[in-house]
Amino acid sequence: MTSTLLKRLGVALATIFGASIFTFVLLRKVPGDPARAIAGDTATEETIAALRKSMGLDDNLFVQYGNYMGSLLRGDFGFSYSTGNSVGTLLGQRLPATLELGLLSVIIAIVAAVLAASFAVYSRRRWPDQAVRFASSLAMGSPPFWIALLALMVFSIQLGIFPGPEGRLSPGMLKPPNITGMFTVDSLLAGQWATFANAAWHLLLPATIVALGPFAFLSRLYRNQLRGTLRETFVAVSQSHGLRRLPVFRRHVAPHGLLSLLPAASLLFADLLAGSLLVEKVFGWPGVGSMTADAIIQKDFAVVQAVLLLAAVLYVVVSLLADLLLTAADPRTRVGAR
Amino acid sequence: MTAIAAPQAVVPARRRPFTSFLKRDRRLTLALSLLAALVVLTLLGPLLWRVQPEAINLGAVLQSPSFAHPMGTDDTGRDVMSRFLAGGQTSILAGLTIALIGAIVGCVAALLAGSMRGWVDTLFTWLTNSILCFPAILLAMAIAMALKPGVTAAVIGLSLHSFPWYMRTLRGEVMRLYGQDFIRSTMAIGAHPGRVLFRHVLPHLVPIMILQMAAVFGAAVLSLAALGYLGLGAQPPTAEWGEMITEGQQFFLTGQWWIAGFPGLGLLTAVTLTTVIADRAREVLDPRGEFTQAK
Repeated sequence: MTSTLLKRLGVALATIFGASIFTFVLLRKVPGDPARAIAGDTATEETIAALRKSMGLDDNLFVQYGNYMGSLLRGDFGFSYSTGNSVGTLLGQRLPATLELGLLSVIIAIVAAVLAASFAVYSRRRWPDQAVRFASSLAMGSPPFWIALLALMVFSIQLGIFPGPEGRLSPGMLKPPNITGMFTVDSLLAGQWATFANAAWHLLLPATIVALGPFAFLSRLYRNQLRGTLRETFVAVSQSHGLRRLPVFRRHVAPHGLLSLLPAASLLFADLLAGSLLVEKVFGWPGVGSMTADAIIQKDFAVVQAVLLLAAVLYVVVSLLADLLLTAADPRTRVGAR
Repeated sequence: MTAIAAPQAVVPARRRPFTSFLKRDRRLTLALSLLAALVVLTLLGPLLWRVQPEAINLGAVLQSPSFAHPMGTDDTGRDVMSRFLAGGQTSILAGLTIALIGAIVGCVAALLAGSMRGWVDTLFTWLTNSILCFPAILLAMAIAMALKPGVTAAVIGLSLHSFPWYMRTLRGEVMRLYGQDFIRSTMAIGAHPGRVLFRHVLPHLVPIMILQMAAVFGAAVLSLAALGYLGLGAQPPTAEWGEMITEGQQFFLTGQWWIAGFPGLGLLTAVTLTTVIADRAREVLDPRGEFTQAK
């Protein structure tokens, strides 16, 4: 068990190291001169030279990398010149909004996928299976930003059921006290029901659209799992002992496959920074995704670098955790186990 | 005693024609022909529908679909149908390029890592892990920002993220093959390592590669459109489906749905069909269900 853990940890650290080199080289060396980009086209050569010096761009690349990693470890993510804030502050402001959106969409995706796949497999007919497969193909093939536009047109402009692209709360609505930064959670904790309803109402449509891709992936995975499990002997044995189909399915078959959803769902969660990027942009959601999109257009290197690295670390850490959880839950997955 | 002549009726194992699966799977046939129709339409359409995609006509602004403009016109009077065809060409060709570059690089890397093992394998695995921990679109966005935003930068960025996918799946398969008896016996009778690699290992990778190419193609077309939508992919006035959606976005909400509607529909159709085809082809190419899905 310890060796398994150490091995996984080593791989994770090596991966993060590789990712950090990659972001560093990409954003320091390739684009020519970050100082010139920050100073703008009208800056004089002296200004640029001074800026280069203050940013430490004249140092050796290894020294630069060392400095960069050193300040990262001290919690300093750099300075965003386009907004005039430190990147750490920006992330602190933006991350809860993305986290809220991401968490809800993962929950929606998992619940919908489990229900749809169970329905498709449990009813032994062809059409539910075909329908779920087609729905997941459609969800996989839909461009999220376009679906978001479509949903805004139908649900908010034509039908008026959901709010327009106005962010996390209706204009004029007061923010709940800042505890976690997630408005739905905070308003619940503070007992502000109207704010909770409003925040949830703003959250539902974007979260559903972000959930489309993960739903497609998870429903396929779970469907295949269920079909595999149904062929196992224990199912036939339980049924021949006189258990009915539904209890066998619910108590024995369905939980069996849930375990395999764990790593997949956690990786999808780690990927949400990218998944919510476009939807946030369409809905005016003030999260990390829309911040990144803006930073890229503004050529704000510090922000992009921080977000890239954050996404990579999130991915590695989450997949490590999922791995460990799975190892703890399922001895067959341990390294060296036969 | 009459010797019973064993009736050695040598019936040559009739090879099923390669296309027989088309007859067995109607849905696959339908999806394949629809996708082929879409591809042919976007590739050959501009030859038949001879309206310049960049031609501005301020006398015919924001017209709804009609006989003169089957998909309407946009806010500068450009014909949406000609832009739809040109944009589809950009999206599909770029998607194919990404799938191909990824397949070639990923396959070479997998063959190297899987056959040489040792530090080569460690190096490639590390590289793969380090790239795949970034979300594809973020990586492509950063690369588009570092280089000059455009279709080329987008293709480079997305290819960089696509080859590790191939590499990861193919590497496992190469390693599995090297443990199989038929490969071991080929090596035991002294076959040249190169011959083993190209005659015996490589052909077994083709079905997985095809499946993966379908998955990568779909994802690449969507990511490309996403980059275009954010202004980091194709630059106006080049027509590309994602970029067209950005242009039509403001009109979408005020009722002129056709500018952003048709390119979105094109994307949805192309990628959904690819997914359906990959799904169905899996049953033909991978009947044992061994290879996990790419994305």
